[in-house]
Amino acid sequence: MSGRAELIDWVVPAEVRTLRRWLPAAAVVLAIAAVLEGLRYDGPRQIGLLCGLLLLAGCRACLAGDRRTWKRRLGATFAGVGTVIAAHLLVVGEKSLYDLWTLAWLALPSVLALYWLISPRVAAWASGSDDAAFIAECLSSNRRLGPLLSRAGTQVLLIHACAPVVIPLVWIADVAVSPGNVLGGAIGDAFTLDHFAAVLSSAAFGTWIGNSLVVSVGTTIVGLLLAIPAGYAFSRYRFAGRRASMFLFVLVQMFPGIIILLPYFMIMKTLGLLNTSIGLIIVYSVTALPLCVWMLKGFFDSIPREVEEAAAIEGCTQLEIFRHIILPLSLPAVAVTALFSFLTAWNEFLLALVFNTSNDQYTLPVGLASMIPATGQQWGDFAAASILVSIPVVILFIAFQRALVQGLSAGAVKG
Amino acid sequence: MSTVEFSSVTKRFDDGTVALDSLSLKVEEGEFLVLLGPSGCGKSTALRVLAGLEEASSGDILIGGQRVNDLPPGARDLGMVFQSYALYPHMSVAENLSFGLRRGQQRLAISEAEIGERVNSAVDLLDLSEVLDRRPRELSGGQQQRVAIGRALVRRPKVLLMDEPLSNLDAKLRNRMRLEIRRLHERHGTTTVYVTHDQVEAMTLADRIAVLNGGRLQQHARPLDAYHRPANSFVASFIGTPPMNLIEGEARSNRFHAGELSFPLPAHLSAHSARAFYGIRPEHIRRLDSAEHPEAVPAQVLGRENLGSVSVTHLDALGHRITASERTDDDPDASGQITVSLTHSSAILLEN
Repeated sequence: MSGRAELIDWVVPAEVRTLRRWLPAAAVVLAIAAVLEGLRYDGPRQIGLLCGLLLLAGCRACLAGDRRTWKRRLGATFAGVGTVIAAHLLVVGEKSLYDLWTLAWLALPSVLALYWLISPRVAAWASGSDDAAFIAECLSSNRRLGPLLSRAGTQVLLIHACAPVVIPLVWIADVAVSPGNVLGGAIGDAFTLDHFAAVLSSAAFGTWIGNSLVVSVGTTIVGLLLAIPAGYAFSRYRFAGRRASMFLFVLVQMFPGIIILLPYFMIMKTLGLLNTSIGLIIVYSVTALPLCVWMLKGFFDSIPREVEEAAAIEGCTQLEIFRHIILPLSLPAVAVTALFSFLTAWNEFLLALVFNTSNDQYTLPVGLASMIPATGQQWGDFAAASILVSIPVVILFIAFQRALVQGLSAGAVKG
Repeated sequence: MSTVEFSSVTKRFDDGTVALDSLSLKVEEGEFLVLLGPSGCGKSTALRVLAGLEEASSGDILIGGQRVNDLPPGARDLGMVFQSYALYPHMSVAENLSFGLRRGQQRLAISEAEIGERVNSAVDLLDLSEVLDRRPRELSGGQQQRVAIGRALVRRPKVLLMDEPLSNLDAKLRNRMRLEIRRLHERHGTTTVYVTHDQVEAMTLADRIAVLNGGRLQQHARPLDAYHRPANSFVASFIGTPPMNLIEGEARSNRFHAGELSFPLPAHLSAHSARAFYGIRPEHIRRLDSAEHPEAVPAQVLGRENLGSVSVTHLDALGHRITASERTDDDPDASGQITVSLTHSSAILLEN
């Protein structure tokens, strides 16, 4: 068989391919972990991780190049030593979530490498076998195992992508339902709704919610009233300064908010709008406006002009076209824009902190922050309040999910 | 129903391009006029100016004898079918059909019952009863097309405008809808202006054709007149598949000379004497048995395309490329040197 040499490339067992791909990744994670152990002054653990890193790298090196039985045996030995080190660290070391995670990056690759490298299939492969029965067996097992392993790899990546987002949420949720005011403690060791009860019964929290609702709803309405006509005009009309003003909109977004804080403050002070909801509504609407206008313009662009022309021929005025054709067609985009404006106002902290300094004008984020430095540090109440604040946002997102997906993708796809 | 008139209409866009150059054209009451031309010839612009979607730079647009330049599109009492159909995506078929009537209900003083009646008659006419509750995106191309026509018809417009309405349909459906449109016109007799680049549509649908090129009117005539007596070489080469053969040369003493090529002019052209294009339709070129024939022209066969009942033969006659269209069942030689006659009673001479 002339193609046997090339075919050999295809009969690499899926286990070996997986190890080739993931051992370097594990080594990189271990390298980072070892550096971080240095910052924690945990010498023994650092040495353990470094050894593991070297062993995994050595194991990977054994899988490269020619197929040799001695290389397989050496690699398996490396993996075995790695397994032992991992077991040792597990027994003697700390067992926090983070420690277990770094350890998993040593233990799992080592165990898998050991197990696979002493398996008959990999042994046959490493011995340089080109026996037809082996090749057929290997190819068929690859077809089964290959997708499985690559799916598992995908899951590992996804878990690592989600963890930074999910873990703090789980933590804060645990603090909210834990009795007392501690930040530590194991997850789910106790349960109480006292903190929620305390927050909900406090008069201040009600005031903050009221303020935030007024400001957010107001911002949404004012923002839409400004953004919809502006987006439409940018999309449909060609006027002097069109490109320049669209660029200016983006330009404003390029500066950090803190730069405009002082000028805004002076303006608000002059207008007597400090410590009022209206002041915040105006500021938030203006801040959210550029992105809203751009989003809506993109959507309006995707509505064919002929549809408007057809309506014009049927006797619609420009206003009627807008009301009966454009607006109903762009509801998804309007929903996205509304949600965006609402969230901007609901979550904003800095401007609210500076402009509305009196207690009865606090919005939720400012109110929450005020709970932290208070005497006794009400961590439990703070966590409960944080969750309560997020609930409306979560509900809005779920409610608008369909529209959101439509609205966000509509700018890209015409049709 | 009304007449439509373009009176020296010029359209110059902001970037300086002249899309219409002093177009003067009259469409009689109940006439089906096809604006024909290659892309970019100004035919769509002419339609959009007529509809009021573009403003004429100069000149007058008259509908029913009244100047409408300053009227908005909705006040011109037109129905328009767009190339993309431009149905309202968020409305059902029924709502699409009745939208315009409802918007103008007060202005037009039509009752709810009248709206229903008009929509129903359009639905019956265009066979849309099955899809009344569907959204446009749930319809096939042909159905969308019929809804677009229905939407224009329920307005009972003075003039019906169609902008390449068939170009988004597949060939089979296009042929069927072409017949439908002709049938609708015969039934309603609405003055119609129809834009297309497809000369087959123009030939089959039109009462009269207006051929445009570069924003200028080339010829305004009945389809067969434009076919047999094209006003200039552009029209001659644009209408007909394959197009008319045009040989540039000189008519002199009853013969036509083009380089080495020379053949007798047909009797009706014998009196001419000038530099000109000699035009002859491919189907009028005959094979001759003998090279001694007085009309004989030697020609080399370059290739042959069999189209079923007819075949198109590409010839090289002493350096001039000529296409001849012959009946396939004659089964003549497909290759080699042949002798043809270019002298025919339907041939024309066009000044160059």
